[in-house]
Amino acid sequence: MRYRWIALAISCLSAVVAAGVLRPRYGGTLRVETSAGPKIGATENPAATPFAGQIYETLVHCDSHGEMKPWLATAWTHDAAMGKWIFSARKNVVLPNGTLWTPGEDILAVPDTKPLDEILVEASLQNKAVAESGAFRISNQRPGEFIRLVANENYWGGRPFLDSVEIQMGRTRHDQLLDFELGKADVVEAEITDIKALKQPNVVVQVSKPRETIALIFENAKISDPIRQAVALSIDRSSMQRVMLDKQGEVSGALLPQWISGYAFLFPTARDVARAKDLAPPGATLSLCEDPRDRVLRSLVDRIAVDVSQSGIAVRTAISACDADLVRLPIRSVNPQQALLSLASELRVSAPAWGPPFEMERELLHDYRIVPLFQFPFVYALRPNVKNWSAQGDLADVWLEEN
Amino acid sequence: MTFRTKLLIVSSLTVAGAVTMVTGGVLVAARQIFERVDAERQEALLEQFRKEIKIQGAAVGTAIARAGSSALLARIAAEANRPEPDFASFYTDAQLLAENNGLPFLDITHQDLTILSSAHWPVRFGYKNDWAICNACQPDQAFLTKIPLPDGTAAMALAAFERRGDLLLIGAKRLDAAFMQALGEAPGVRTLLWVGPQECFSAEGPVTLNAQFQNLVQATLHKRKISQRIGNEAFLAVTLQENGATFGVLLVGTSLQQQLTLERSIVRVGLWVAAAGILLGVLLGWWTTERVTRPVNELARGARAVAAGDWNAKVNVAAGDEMGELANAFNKMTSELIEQQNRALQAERVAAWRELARRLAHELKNPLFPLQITVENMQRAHAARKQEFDEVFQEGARTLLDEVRNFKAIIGRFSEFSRMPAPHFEQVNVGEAISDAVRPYEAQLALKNIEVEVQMNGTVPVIQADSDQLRRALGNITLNAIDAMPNGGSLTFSVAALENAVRISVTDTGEGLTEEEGSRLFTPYYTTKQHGTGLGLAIVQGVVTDHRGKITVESGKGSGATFVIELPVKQVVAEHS
Repeated sequence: MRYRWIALAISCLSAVVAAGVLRPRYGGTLRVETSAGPKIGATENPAATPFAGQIYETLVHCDSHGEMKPWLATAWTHDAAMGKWIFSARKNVVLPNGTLWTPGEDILAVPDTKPLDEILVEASLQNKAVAESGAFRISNQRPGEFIRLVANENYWGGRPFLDSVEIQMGRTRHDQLLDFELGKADVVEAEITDIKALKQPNVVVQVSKPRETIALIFENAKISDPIRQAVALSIDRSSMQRVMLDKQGEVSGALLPQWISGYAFLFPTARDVARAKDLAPPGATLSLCEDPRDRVLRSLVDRIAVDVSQSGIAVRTAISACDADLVRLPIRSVNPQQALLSLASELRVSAPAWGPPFEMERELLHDYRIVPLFQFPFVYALRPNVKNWSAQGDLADVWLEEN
Repeated sequence: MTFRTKLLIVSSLTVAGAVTMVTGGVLVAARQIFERVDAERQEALLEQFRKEIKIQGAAVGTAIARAGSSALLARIAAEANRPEPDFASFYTDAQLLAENNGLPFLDITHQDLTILSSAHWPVRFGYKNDWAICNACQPDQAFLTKIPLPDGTAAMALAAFERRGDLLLIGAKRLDAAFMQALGEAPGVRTLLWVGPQECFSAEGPVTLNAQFQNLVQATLHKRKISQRIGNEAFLAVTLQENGATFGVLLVGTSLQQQLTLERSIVRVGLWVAAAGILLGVLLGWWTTERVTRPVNELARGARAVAAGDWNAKVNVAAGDEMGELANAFNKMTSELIEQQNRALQAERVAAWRELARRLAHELKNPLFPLQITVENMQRAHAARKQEFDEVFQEGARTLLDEVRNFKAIIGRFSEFSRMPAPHFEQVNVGEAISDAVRPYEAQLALKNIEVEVQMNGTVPVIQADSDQLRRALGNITLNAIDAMPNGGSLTFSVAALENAVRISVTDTGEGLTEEEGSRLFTPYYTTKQHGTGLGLAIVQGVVTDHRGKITVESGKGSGATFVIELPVKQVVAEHS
């Protein structure tokens, strides 16, 4: 009996210790490095910009499933035709100057007579009601290089666990990994080709769903349609993904990943060198840009050059002033239409007419000026003491386990 | 050009030519020696290149064999033996193998040459290796090949391969500047390895070939081996071949700097020798020509003096050679000439005096005979018939007076010839002068049945002349013509204008003159006539000469004679002022 009590006491003690270990801990500074540039600002869509959502907030935002969620607005109503929307403002939102956030009627109402669905409402509100009311506030920054965030003690959602976050921006993936190995950073971005190498006992690798499209963009309008099509048909995506990308990412002929659009498989990815040879005019030449700082894209460009040369097109690579460029296109929204419009804007091409996503995407891709190749996930390397990290960069729930 | 100058030029050219020939001969000999030495050096370097190829080839073979026995390749080979092998994870392993074994080029391929992993071009996986073309090669045998590079060019390399199960390991070392450095070029020798139009290198690194080299390379690709001089280098270019395929061109160049330096030295010495020789030749030539031409010049000076009338000119040449003999002969000739001239002058003077004496005797004898007869008649008349004496005396006195006048006339003509007055120039119409000259003789001309004709050809200008002297000269010619045509004939005066002169031709149809008569016609006191004084034509010549004109006679025996007088239109004022 006495042993039974002892066993019970030990079990209770273990439970208490375990609870203490798993319970989020307040305090600490998280060191994050990112390749993103100076994109944190009040004029941007905070939800679509890494870390900006930790500082700025709007009335609503889309969650990871594309559904509109309350943010500064706690509730909303609309008429039957979904043409007029009225939002209820959150009451306890404190601005940096200590005053309460009190939006006007015009902020809280969407008086458009045109029927709007939730997506359009979210889009129309992105830049309408931005307030510096997030979980963190800017303490110190060197634009484009460094920013230090401190916890917003008066955050309406409760104080975040972290005391502060230091974000190094504009860092190459290579430098980030070096800093990570040297213990200078807690969270860094990694290439998908580094996943295997990063899988070590003291490293946590977090891989998101595909959030980045790798596409070949023809910058030179003088490159003819047949050449562009021949290039698209020459590229052996599967071999590249299998060997060079270590089977990571997804082969894709679409701009949006399958998990967002659901129709990505409809865009062909098969290689057809014979047809490419037929399409390529004799003596055709092509110059491909390669970014010397991005080793993954650089090696992909080298392989594309080899593949395309099989169709009779003389290919050379260069640093600048090229006919085509291989780029990374972050998917800004989980909503297909919104993401496509954002991509069109980023690529400075004509926005497709609003309609079914497949039609919009086909309109963007029909002339082969944009040749999607792969969908890459976001890959993060975390120290084991970083808890609750999400690929969306929601820092409010992140906490650091005590070493 | 003087004889001295000619002699100097000849001597200088001879010296220069000799020096040039010697210099050229030395140059050619030196060049041949250098070319032979250069060819030997080039062949030696070529042989060294071949040896280095073998050495490097053996090293590549060893490295490949070492890589082939590595654990890494064993793992790949094991994967290859699986039913569905997946080589994706070996994508970068070729780079590791290449680094470990010091091979810049390494491909791990399937036995069908499909690349599984490539060290120098990783992204070429899945494609066929296209530089392992030595089908006849054995695994331990290195071979030359060209390896395509990502930038579109190709590298020449020494390759070898190793089989490992279903895998083929192909590695190569590039023939680059480091390889060329291993050749150990001697000073003054360099090697260039041409791989392609855009790729050529030497031991120092990449080289850009100019058009001359490109042409040499292209010619070598056709002929396999060519020697050619480019700039200050002599190049031997040979193709590099493997199993009939050409992979590049090796150019072995030897500097011609030493040869050029020697050639320049030879030329410089030759020029100095030539210059010194020419200078010496000039000095010797000058000295020689001075000795040779001095008597010649003396002779020339003597000859010019003789030609100028100085018959006393002597040539002083002390030499005892042929020139001395020539000078002595010259001096002897002038002495003899003077002697002969003196003799001729004396003879002529004697002849003239004789002629003068004959004339005087003749002229004086003629009037003396009537004087003698007259005096004798007067004596006889006085002795015989005193009553007729007065009449005879009168007649005799008249005759004496006539003959005395005749004496005076004769003496007057001689006196006139001895003191011809200076002409007094005035404007004279030649036609009128002819008419005035002929008029006094019209009666005689008519008596002798001689027709006179005056032809004025064109416009004849008025000339400046002494009208009296001109009339007298023309009158003498007319009188001479009358005497020459005792049986009649024609006398033609033809006048024509010349440039700044007037020509008067007087043609008779008389018996003409012999050549001797023509040559002595204007000699004073010379006459062919029975009663002439020999002064008429001499006076004519004197008048013409005083008018700065000239007179000639054209005649032949039996064909008449033509006197041609040319007189200037204007006289020089200073002369007659």
